Amino acid sequence: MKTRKAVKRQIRLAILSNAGGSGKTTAAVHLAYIVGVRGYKVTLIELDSNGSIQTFAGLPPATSEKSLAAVLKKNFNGNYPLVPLWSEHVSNVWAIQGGAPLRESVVEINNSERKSQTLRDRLEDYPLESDFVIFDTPASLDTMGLLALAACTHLLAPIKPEYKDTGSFVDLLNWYNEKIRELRLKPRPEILGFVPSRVDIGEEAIHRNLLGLTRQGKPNKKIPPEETLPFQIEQMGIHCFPLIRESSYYLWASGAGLPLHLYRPGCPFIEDFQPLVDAVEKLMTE
Amino acid sequence: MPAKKPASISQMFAPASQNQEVLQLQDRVEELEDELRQLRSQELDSNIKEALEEQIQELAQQLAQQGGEHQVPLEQIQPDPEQPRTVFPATVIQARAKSLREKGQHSPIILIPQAENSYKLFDGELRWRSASQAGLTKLRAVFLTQEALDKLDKAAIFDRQLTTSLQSEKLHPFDLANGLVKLMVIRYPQLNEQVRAIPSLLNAIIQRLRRSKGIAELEEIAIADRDTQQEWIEKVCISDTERWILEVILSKQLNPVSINSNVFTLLNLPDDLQSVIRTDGLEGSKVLELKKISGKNLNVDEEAATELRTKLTNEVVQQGLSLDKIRSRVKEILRTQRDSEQPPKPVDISQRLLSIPKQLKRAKVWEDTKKRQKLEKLLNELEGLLL
Repeated sequence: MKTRKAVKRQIRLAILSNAGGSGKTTAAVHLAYIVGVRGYKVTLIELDSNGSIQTFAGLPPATSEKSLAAVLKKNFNGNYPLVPLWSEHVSNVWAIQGGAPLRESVVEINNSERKSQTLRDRLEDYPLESDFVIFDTPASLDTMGLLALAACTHLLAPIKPEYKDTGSFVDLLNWYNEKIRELRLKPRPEILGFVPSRVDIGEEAIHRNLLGLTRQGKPNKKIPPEETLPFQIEQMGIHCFPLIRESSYYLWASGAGLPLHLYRPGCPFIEDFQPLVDAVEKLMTE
Repeated sequence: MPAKKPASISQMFAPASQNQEVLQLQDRVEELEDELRQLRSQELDSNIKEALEEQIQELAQQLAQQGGEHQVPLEQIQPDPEQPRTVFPATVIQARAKSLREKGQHSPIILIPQAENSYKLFDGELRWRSASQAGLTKLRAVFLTQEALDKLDKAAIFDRQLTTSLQSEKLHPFDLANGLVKLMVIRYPQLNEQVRAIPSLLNAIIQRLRRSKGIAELEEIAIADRDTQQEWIEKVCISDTERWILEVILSKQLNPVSINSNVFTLLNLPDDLQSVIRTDGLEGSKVLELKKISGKNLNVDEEAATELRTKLTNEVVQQGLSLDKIRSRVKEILRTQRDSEQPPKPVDISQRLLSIPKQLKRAKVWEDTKKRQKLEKLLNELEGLLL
């Protein structure tokens, strides 16, 4: 299935959302896998001290020396602690694990000279030999969110189409607009788009309403467009990707430490990621 | 008790959208301030500077009204045929592509929306030409409406485009030549009727100054303030046309002597040479050398001359020939062409006359009585002509 095209530039995608349970790690893991299957070199960097990647990829917890904490240390020498992911199936997907050791990094970063520019500096001083780098972040925009923002070329915001998540997304946009200026990021990271995640339009009326869809997934003309998320978001010049459906299969797959593609090949849900993967591939190769 | 209505999505987004707009406007104001700072640091005369600031302020207002930056796909953008800058050599494009790739797009390009999904460039052609090489598919842009543009003073806009081009990148003398002529016509529409004569009019002024030894002052006048320039122009010019021409050149703080010999000589070039300047940025001095391969100089028709010239031009571009090399190649071509012509006949009357005494001597015409009589008769006729 390798369809690798010539890569023109490295894309570093930060998956950001300040709402918990919006499907960040699910998106990060599946993007890493699918882009890897297409033949590109992928590195998944976990900035979350919860260490969910270890579950999603069936890895043992990382020690401080074998985690992102080592990269963020002052004396880092370019030797990235890369762990291969799903190595029986793909040979070009790696991770730098986060987890518990990152709790100390937060203090260290805030006391350091370059603060939130630290990860950006590392990746600039010691470029990763990857076509695609993904930052999986915790559900807060504090230290680790800033670290990811400063180091990425693009942002992706998964949002569960619910009120709480919508409020968080508005905060995220304000935060983004202010921080890219405050941090004087040049070039500024771009918002690749928002992607409605964990959507169940069959069961959840609120998902249907906020996305302006009928139960069949068609546009619902009774809902005024300005009261839907995609309309408002596109008004701000941000691309809206097709939705990613909620499925308990993701939960089972994560328990097995596999992407859904390997856990349940042929499952129709895996198609949901294609538009995202296509967009990333386009950025890398065009 | 009626159920409380859920929050309105549009209300939730309103503050974020306002915030974004305000911040983007701040960005633009900063950029414009930057631009102004740069312009102020240049030694421009006060009138131009004022006009420029006015233009930029108008621009800022326009952009504020339009609100927002846009990502515009490269294929929806068309260049502006009116741009003073037309020379974009591959090396310059490569350099800009590198900086776009490494440092990103510093400021938005300015576009004029045309039909749907179609935009004309107002500012940023080099960035547009370099973007695809930098791996970009879109550029950040702000929009100027045609309506707003119509309100702006065309002359001032062109003036500004020319000035910014002069300052930001080295404008190729070819573009400078065309730009100056255009600016003259915009400022003084009366010149439109004698556009083609402008180079020779300037040349006449320069020759006159050379004779009156006024030429040495020009270097200083070129960088003097506007009033001093005006005074000097009044003193040396004998017609309005001359005044207009000099005024425009001096207002750009350029020396008319070098414009005359290095810049205006590039006007009215044959098409093939114009196009090699545009695509390869070939230096003016080399182009002028190549221009010597003409139908007139070779005594052949223009088509044949163009063929010879194009062949050498290709070599020049591909092998990066030096000016010296080009010079000797051009000489060689001119010489071989002449040699291959019919047995050399003296071309004009004066040469024929000059060669006659020698030939008469060699033929010893006077030893033959018949010939001698005929010669005497011819000489009498000749002398009769002179009476």
